Formats: sequence, structure tokens, C-alpha cells
Amino acid sequence: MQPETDENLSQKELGFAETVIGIITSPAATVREVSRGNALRLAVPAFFLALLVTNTTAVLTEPELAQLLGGPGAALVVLTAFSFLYLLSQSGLCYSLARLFGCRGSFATLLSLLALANVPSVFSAPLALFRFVPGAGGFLHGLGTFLLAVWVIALGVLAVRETFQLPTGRAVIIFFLPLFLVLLLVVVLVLAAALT
Amino acid sequence: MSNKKWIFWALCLLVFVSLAVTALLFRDRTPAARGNIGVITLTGAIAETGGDALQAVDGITPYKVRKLLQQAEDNGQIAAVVLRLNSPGGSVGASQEIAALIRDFPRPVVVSMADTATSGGLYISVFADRVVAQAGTITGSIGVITSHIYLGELFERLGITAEIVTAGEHKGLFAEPLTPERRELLQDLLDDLHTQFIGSVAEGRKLAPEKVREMATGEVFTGARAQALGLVDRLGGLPEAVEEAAQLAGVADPQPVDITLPVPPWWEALGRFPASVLDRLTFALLGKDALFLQQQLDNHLVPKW
Repeated sequence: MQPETDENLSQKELGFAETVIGIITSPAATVREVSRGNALRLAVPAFFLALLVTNTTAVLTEPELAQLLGGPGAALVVLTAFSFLYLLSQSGLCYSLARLFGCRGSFATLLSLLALANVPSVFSAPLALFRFVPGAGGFLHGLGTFLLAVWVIALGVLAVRETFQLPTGRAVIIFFLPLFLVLLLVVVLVLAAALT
Repeated sequence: MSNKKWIFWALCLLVFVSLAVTALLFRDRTPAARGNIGVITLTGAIAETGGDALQAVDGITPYKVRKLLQQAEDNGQIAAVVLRLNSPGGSVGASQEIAALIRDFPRPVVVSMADTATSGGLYISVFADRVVAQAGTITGSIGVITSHIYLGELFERLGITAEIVTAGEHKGLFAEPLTPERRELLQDLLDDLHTQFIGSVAEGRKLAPEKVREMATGEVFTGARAQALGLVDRLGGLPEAVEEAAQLAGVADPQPVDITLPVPPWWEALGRFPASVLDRLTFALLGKDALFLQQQLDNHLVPKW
């Protein structure tokens, strides 16, 4: 396999399979390459494919959740719609904050990269099999899920960094601030509900 | 094909196989598939419709019991059912409907009385194949009760004039003060229901009607006394009830499994939200009086077992 360089990747336009595998095997170069052009046509299908795998795994392994959401089919639709809305909100908030801090970049690029950042979550399907391993299976599943979450977050930070050409520290702040604000809103709403 | 495309297709295969294996392994993980004695927990007052939002009690309704028993019947592995019952009774029609569902269930049914199974709670138990209760369970109360609430003076105090127009000599029974004649009518109604109660207990427990009439004073009994009177077959808790069920169904290795209704979808909870907020607002504004008044009005001229 060739070493990861921008030159190798820019030789031709990235295809769907190359983008998906590139995000997993050579994330920095792929994100950089994708950030140079409009990659929505690749990113959106990749995002929905990853969601399909993640949500199908959730529906299969958490039947109570599926029941709560009105059955397996309805659960798939609800979870997918919610995740897409979350992606749009996260992109919008990150973009607004970055602009507020004087950064320059394209919303479409940010949306594409944040969508692609979810691709590694397809590994939730093989990870779910650990739940059937006796003994340490539960621990391995938990550890794998945690590492997967860290991976997706790291790719999200990379997406912000490359979209706005920021140092990693500022990218981390811009990536986490919307999450922090949403958490704060939830805490305020819960407190308000408890006090009334 | 490039290396990345090979890896992509390998990843697709891995994901597909993982999902297929997960689906196969999780298919048999539904709890109902693993037991042979279904345990259905019934708690609260018996009524045709669901529980009181202010009291956050779900209650026992014919709809719920029908759904749960149907679930048990549809599961071929369930050989018998144990009803874990904790109820002070409730409305007459709903109790009769639930009793019929238990009587007609095609597999053995054992009732395990918890703290309380009085009145309607006892009524729905008598058609089970066996009744198990703790020595300290409170049961009995074979009687009928109702109340008549006249709100005329409250309306007067609030400056509200209520004009009641009726057709039919006794139609105003629900909205006017009780006269001696109407009190007698109401008493006849309750006596009729009392006789039905006594007849059902005698039929379900295979007791002489005269014997049941003697104990049908509305008094409550401990589980131990109820056993002596023939209302309970065995003293014990849920494990003893499961044993009885297994014995009746000829199951050598009883494995109890809870039978529960599916969690309602989120939109149903969302649909109940406005009513729940209204109930809570009423409670917050009017305090405990609102709850008391609501309960009294719910009981207005509704005979209860």
C-alpha cells in the first residue's frame, strides 16, 4: 500500500469506496482532500449507510428501544431522522461559532466532513458480537464502543480543523462548545421542570 | 480493482455478516421465549379504563388483562399462568369481564395474592384453578359499595344555578338528593349485585351458596382465615403459586417468566402529555381537595366490589 500523501490522493477524484476506506485508513489525508471540493454527493450517502448499520445494530440488540419507538421499522426511521437532524444542528452550530470567532470556511465542506466522521461507526455491527462472548465479552464490547466514540469525535475535530484551517486546540473548542451548550440547555430544562 | 475497493467490499461483507449473526443470536433473546410458567402482575384498582394520572397508578383493566392473557396463549411454551394480584377491587362490570377471561383461559391459571386481594380482587380470583395467598394477605370483603354525591349546595355557594330536567321518574337519581324511595331503589340494585357476587364465589370456589352468604358481610379476612373458609387453596407466595401452576400443567421443571405489555410507543406518551399537564396543574392549584373530589365524583353512584 502506498504511503498516505496528499499527492497520491489528489491524482484523481475520490470515489465512494475510496472515501469511505480513506476515512478509516488514512483520515487526515482523506479529510484534507475532501475539504478541497464539494463532497456532499459522497458524504451524505456514506453517512446514511453508516446510520443504517448503526441503527440496525441498535434495533437488533436493544428490542426495548425498538418497542419504545413503535417497532423495528419505526425505530429505524426515527433514529435515522434524529441522527440527521443532529448532524445538521451540530454543523450549523459549529459553523456559526467558527464564524463568530472570525474563521472562514464552507458550510457544505463542514457538513460533508462531519457526515464522513460517522463512517467508523459501521464497526458497531461487528462490535455487537462481543456481547455474546462469555466472560469478558461485555467489557470488550464496552471498551470497543468507547474507542469507537473517541474515533468519531477525533474525526469530528479533524473535520472542523480542516474546514476552517484552525489549530487543533481551537478546533476542539469549536467542536465541543455546541455539545456543551446543548447539555447546558438540557440541564436548565430539567432544573426548570423540577422546580415547577 | 484497487486495494481500497477490496477493503471496502471486505468491510461491507464483515458488516453484513455481523448484522446477520446478531439478528440470529438475538432472535431467541425475547424473555417470553425462555419460560414455561407465565407470571402476570396485576396491581391497582379494577376499572374499565386506565389509572388515575394524579395517583400515577396504572390499575387493572379488562383490556390489559385480555392483552396479557392473549400474549401468554400465543406463546406455545407457556404451559400455565400465575396472576400475581394486588388489588382492593373496583368496578363491577370490569371485575366480571376479567373473571370471565380467567375462567375461559385454555391453560391452568393460579392466582397469587400479594398484600391485598379484596372485593373485586377476590372476585376475579375465584375462577382461577388455584388460589395461593400469604397468611397475612388481606382478602374477603364480599360486598358492594357505592356513594351518592349531591353537589347542589356547592353550586349554590359558588353562585351556580343548576336546573335539572329529566324524563323518567327516577332519572334524577344521579343529580338530586336521595329520597327514601330512591334510596330503596339503590339498595335493591346493590342487593342484586351482592347476590351475583355470592353466586360467583360459590360457583368459582365450589362452595355452598349458604356458606358464602354467611361470610359475605363485607368483612375482610386474613389469608389464613380465607383458607379455612375455602376462599384460598394454599398459603404461600409466588414460588408456591408457580409450583401449583407447574403441577396443574404437568411441568417438571418450572421456569417462571414475566409477561408484560410492550412499552407504549413514544408518540402515545406524547399524546397523553397535555392531559397529564392539565391534571398536574389542577392538583397544584387546588391541592389534595382536587384529588379527593375527583375520586368522589368517579365513585358517584358507581357500585364497586
